[in-house]
Amino acid sequence: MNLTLNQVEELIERHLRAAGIWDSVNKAHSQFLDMQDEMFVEIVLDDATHLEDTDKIVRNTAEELKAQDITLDSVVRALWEILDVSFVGPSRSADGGIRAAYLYDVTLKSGSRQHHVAVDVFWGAVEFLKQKRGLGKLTSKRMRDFQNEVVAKAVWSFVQDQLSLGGTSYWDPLLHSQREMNDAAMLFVFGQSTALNELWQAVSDAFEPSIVDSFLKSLSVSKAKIQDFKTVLPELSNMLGGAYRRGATFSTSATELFQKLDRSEQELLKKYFYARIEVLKAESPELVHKFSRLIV
Amino acid sequence: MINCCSRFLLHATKGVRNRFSIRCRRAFSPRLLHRGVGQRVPLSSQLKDEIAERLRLALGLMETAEISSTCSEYELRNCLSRLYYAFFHASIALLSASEPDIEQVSRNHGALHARLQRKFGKTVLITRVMRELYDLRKQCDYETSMFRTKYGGNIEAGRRDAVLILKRAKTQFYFLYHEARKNL
Repeated sequence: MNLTLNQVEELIERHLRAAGIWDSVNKAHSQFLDMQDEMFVEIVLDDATHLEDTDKIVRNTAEELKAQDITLDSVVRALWEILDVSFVGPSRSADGGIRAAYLYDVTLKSGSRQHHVAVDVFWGAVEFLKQKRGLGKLTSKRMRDFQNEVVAKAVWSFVQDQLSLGGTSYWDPLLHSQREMNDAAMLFVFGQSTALNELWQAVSDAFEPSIVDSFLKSLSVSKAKIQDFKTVLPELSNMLGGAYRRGATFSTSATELFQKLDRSEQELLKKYFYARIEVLKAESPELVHKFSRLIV
Repeated sequence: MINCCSRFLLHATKGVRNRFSIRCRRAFSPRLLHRGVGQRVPLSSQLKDEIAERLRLALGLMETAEISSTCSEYELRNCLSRLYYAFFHASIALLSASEPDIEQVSRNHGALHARLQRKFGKTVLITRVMRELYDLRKQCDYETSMFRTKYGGNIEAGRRDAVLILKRAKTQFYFLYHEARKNL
């Protein structure tokens, strides 16, 4: 090879500077590798507006280097952030038939470019999540909206995970703007958020018929206000625990766990707690009467 | 791929051969065939067997990389060295599916790390963990004074550190392992 890796790097930088794109290149994610028999370059942009131009420049540079017997393999991609995930309705196939999936629309943003991605979440995956999150009891219209919100959060994590991969494993949302989320993907996403899972389970356990009475009693004693989640949170610490695996972290403080959640997870957990209160009010009027000062 | 083809034909017949057809050509280019999420090329049964064998070895090494509360310096050294090789074999298993010359590359650790970095990118934790474990393995296998210089001869500090390394590495290992298994 006539040129070194550094020289190739400089050459590409020069071309991108000339095109006014260099400032959009994310230096922390971009990489130049010497693969012995060829060179590999991954250019990562903060703004997808320049994707096509950058791709063209890198391809032209590869052609230029080919004349010097240098093989340049490349990936040109952009960093995307998720702006919104919303439930659309039942998913439909190209011929208009209903698929065994729900459709979610994901809005992505990279610099000044926005793009929409369609995610089909299979019924099996939704059922799995509903079961794990104890959402079967929530049946009213408002509760169904909440269910959609819980699935949307999972879709968010799924898309986030796909966007996190770089190198040749990257996902190009412009090229493949339709994704499918099956049971395995849902299981993976579910397993990622351990703090949320623990707290969610704690709320579910607190409202179990055999426990709810003593839970409400403990809230009364501690003078917690059930409509103020912050005052309820420390009481959920009693619900944490369970089988202790070797090497696993044993969580004892619900408040500490709650701090580990991101804002959207915190909001979702609060909503779940309030949804369970609504179910309690509808299904157990005797408890509402017994703890009338607590449950208004 | 079939789905992509039929969508292409559908658009072409409607006369919408604009940007989508350009994208399709990009998707069909051989350079991009093995790339991207969800694009997998069918593998021969021989290659699948080789991948399965590598994965068995990787998993076996990972499962025996244990740190007990009474383990000696040499057991710790063995454990951390095995840990790297668990990653080494899982990486080869994963890369075998898309890179035909991986057997040759596997004789050069640096080249293998570069392949992994090309596959997953620069900032993904797995590539950093792989390089860190490699440095650690070299220390464990070759540096006689490693425990003295690093932990002042305090084996308990060494065990604590190793437990943390093992815990962090396990998540990354199982990611590699499951990604490779998808090819079977």
